Amino acid sequence: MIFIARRLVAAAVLLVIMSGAVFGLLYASPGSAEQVLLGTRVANEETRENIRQRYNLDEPLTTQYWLWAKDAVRLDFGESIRTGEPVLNAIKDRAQLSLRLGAYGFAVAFVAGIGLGVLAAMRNRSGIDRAVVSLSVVGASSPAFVTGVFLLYVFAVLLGWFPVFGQGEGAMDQLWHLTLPALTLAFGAAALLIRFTRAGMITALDQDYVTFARARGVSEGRVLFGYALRNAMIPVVTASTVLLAAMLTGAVLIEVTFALPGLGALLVDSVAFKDVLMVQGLTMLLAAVAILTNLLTDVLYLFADPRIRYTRVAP
Amino acid sequence: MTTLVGGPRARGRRRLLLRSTPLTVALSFGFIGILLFLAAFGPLLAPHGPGSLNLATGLTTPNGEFWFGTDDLGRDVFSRTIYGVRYALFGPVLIVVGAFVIGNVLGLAAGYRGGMLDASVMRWVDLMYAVPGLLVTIVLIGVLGASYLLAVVVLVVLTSPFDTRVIRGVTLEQRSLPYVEAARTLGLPVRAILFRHIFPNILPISFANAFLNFAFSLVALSALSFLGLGIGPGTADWGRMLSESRLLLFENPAAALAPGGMIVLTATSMNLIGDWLYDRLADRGRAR
Amino acid sequence: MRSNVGPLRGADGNGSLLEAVGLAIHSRIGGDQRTIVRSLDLSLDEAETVGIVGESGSGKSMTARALVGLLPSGLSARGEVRLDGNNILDLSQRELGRIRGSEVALVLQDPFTMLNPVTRCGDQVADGLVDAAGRRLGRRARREEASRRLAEVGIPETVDRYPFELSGGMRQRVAIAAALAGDPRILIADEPSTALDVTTQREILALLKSLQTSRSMALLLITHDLRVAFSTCDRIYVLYAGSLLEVGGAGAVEAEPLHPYTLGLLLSEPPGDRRLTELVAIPGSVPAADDVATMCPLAPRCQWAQSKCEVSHPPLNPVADNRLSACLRIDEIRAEMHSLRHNAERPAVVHHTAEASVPLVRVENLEKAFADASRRRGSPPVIALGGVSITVGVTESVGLVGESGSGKTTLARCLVGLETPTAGVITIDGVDASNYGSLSADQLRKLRRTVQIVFQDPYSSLNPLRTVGSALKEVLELHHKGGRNLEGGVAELLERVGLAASLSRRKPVALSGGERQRVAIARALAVQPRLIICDEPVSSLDVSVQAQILGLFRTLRDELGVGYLFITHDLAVVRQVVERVYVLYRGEVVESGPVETVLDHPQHAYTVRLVESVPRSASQQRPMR
Repeated sequence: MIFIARRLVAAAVLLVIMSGAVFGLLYASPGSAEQVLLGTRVANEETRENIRQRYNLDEPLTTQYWLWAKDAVRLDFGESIRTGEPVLNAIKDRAQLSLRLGAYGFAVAFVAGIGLGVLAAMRNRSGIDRAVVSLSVVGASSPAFVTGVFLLYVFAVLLGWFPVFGQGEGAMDQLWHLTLPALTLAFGAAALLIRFTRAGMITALDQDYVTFARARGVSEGRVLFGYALRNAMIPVVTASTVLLAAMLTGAVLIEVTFALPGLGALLVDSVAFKDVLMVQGLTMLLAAVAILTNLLTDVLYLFADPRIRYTRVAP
Repeated sequence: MTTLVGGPRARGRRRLLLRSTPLTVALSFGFIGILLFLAAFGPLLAPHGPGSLNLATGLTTPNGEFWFGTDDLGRDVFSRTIYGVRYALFGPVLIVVGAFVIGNVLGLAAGYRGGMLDASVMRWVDLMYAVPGLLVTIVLIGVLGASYLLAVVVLVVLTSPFDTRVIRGVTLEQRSLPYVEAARTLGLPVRAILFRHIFPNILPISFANAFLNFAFSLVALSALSFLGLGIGPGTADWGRMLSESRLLLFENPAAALAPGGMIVLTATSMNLIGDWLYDRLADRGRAR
Repeated sequence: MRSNVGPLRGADGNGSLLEAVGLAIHSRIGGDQRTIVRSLDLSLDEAETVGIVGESGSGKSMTARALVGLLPSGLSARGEVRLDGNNILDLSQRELGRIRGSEVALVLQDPFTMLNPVTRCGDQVADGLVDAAGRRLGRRARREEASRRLAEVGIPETVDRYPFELSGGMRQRVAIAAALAGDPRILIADEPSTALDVTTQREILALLKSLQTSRSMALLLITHDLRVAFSTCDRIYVLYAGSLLEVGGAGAVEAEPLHPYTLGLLLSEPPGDRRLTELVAIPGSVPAADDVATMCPLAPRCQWAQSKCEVSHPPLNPVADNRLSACLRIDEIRAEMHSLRHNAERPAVVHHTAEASVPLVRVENLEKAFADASRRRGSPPVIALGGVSITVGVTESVGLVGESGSGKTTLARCLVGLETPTAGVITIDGVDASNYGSLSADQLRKLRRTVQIVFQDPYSSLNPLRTVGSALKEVLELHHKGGRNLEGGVAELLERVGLAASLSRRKPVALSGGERQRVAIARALAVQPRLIICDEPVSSLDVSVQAQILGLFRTLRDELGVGYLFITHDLAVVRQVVERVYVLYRGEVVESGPVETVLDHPQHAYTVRLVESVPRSASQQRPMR
């Protein structure tokens, strides 16, 4: 369990570094911090003074960071420069949609990606394999906004099966509206999963332990799942950080493409309006999610591979 | 896991190479060839200027004069798609070259020297892997101000870890092979070992990687353009065109589908070639 | 129940448990079809132990795979493999699944890759267990039975362990237990002991033999080592380039091989009990089956070959009682072969220049510890060398014997500066070489010209992109040897190691393993060193090629006066080359002295065990007259 403890410490250190970088965004923007925070508001002495007070601009930089970080721990990132709404509230309002999109997309990608990856590996070099591989190459080469536009064109414009934009009313209708965006997200993610699963599975099927299992009559089901897939999943777990990064990027582009008011769209809007405080809040959230996923991956890895779990050495 | 690349029987191999090149890869090479041609001579072929407005015509669907129709400002989509090739190649090539240089230098140094240098380089690489690159770019460009050059620089920094990790891995592997150890024992200078022995053996790998990086960079740059963060408005860049025309899906779908299709085709070709190169190298006894 | 031991040869077909008739194996890569095995007849009786002996490329492993219907993709088999009235080659994978485990099981070579790394040993054994009705057992019954099965192979305590926690020998035992879980009547073992240390090898072979007897099952042993086959098997099939060359009872073949190849193989294998005057090797290297399809496969390498040997592929013919040979001229050359063997086995006298000579290399209390990268940070370092002292005199040849983990390779690497020792002193020709990093350019150059190294693996010893000539030229240039005429220098070096000068234009892929190792030796010779460290220089080579390289080492020493530090696990090999030997065990020298004293009268318990593990045939185990 020392392994976990060390990872926890590393994650904490990373979080602190990231927070420093995020705090620095305010000063990285062109113009003075005061000017940036002022945004498009009228610049009289009173508002300037208010801003300096509210964001401790007169304090030394380290103190400023400290005060900012203290608030950030309580998830208080200040108020949006654009709307004056607390950043946390804005994030809360938008998070649900993004989470649903992510969960829906991931579920589809997971089932399709692992399933097709295993299938392609078992039928290596066959027509099915080539088709699956081609699909995954196209998926990895298609940015989410292009996939989105093509799906919209085919399923919404040509066939009229799905709505073009909007979120829908009621649970079923919302799911309906989310289907094209989720499929778009899943297309890119599944491409990665197919790639990792297929490669892992082909490698595993080629190993001596699989041949030996067959050579002593172990049932084919047990060979495929207990021997091959079990080992093939280890590199897939390791690659899940790459998957997360791809899905986060995809989600941002998808929300813009389908005009969904999620966190991604909020980030893009805030960036466009130079709403630095909102960007800080969102970036911090993003960093935390990435670091947590990393941590989760490490724990999963621990379960997947006993060689990491135990450190006993051969006598 | 012995060697990367062999040499003699080259003629026989070349013949085998032609025969064993999959159709998809051959088509990819052909497509890249066409792109290069269009980048060079496109302006001579395009029937209209990239920015020439045709307000009288307005929005049209594909027809004899405008093969892909026009967008809402009456600009010819076909011509703009051809002009877009230059943007599609220029940025990614810069990024690929930048990442190639950084990746090879850092990878070779870290892999060969080891120790503290290796540890710190790999720490950095791990960090960059965990970061959703495009989002970081969005934030940075958003905060620092939109600029194409900045986008390219940020993407070089974000892409080079992929090269670095791969090059470092194969360098480490080559370094422990007896032929390198023999060279060290014979007293060959480090320079000679690195550039005469190791580098030529890992060059094919970085070459394969360059194609994969190209695909990634193209997708990333178009995404930035799509979000309005890369190249300026009105430019005949595929991402920008898609972004400006995606609301025209009912009126003239070609205005959005043509640039989108080009992005996917180009990236797919590059990925197919890169994967194919990797597989060929792996067939010679190298794991990825 | 089962019948008693069948007749010595079951070729009549009635008593055979497993029988292959005209088994042919081909591979197809792209459009090219290549022959792996040409046409093979083989029979295995109940409770019999049969050996298939062959070098790499003979097709022996693929034969083993074909017998259980498990050829890798791209390979296909034709002919017949009869088992219980079925032709294995015609069965579906599902039908084969029922036969494998219960009728026949196959154990592979490498214990480190054969077991599923993420599953406990007990569970892996249990995966092959079924009850009388062929169903999987219940949870508790599985565990109990798995434990019992692991006890049968001597390691009941491993039931809850993962493979990575076990040593190679223990893993091989787990694999054997797993293979026997379905109580097969036939066990096929493909080089079951080759990947293991010598002392463990013997234990595994003994285990297989005792299981074979106690379960009265048939055992088919695939091996490259004639000595192993002689000591374990009842009958032997000698396979070469996809064709059977000789078949016969183990004792009879050992007493008098009836094919030049078998004789050559026997003579190439140096004996562990004496040094030979001359090492007899089969010249050249093993050809591909298709390259010798229309002639006797051995013809290009055979000293007795005549034109009739080169016009057709000779069949296996009965040449004596229960003996088959594919040699067309066996009747004519039988007497000649006999006298060749008689002469070749004469022992040589070892000349001792040893102790008296001036020391060239002196190693004092050398220690080396590695931080173990596979374990957590802060865990104690692994001690590779724990205070080793050795000396090597000028022009002297010294052996360093030990198993994996003994530290012998680490010592070699410290000597040439590929590792830096943790403590201790290395002095080479008066220069303190304990830390290469702190030496001046002049001192370094001097050391480089004094000591060179030849590695184990000839395939990665050469840069695949550069021609043989450029590899040698580079060294000559660097050390200003060979004068102005670099081409001439290259040609001379190649000639020294027995290669044609025309080879200098080739790249390593176009060379055989033996040729590559010769080039690696030539490269070391280019700086005209006084000592060459040879780190297992023949252990990756085929037996017939091994003897050539050992012969080359002897010639070079006689002609150039170069000394060797010869590192090996193989006592028979070390005996042929060196005068003095150090025995290394777990990072310490446990015994040293003149080679025949140490090997004939070992003092330390470990040396005794090592000497006893050398495989010997039944006749050799008897005391010599």
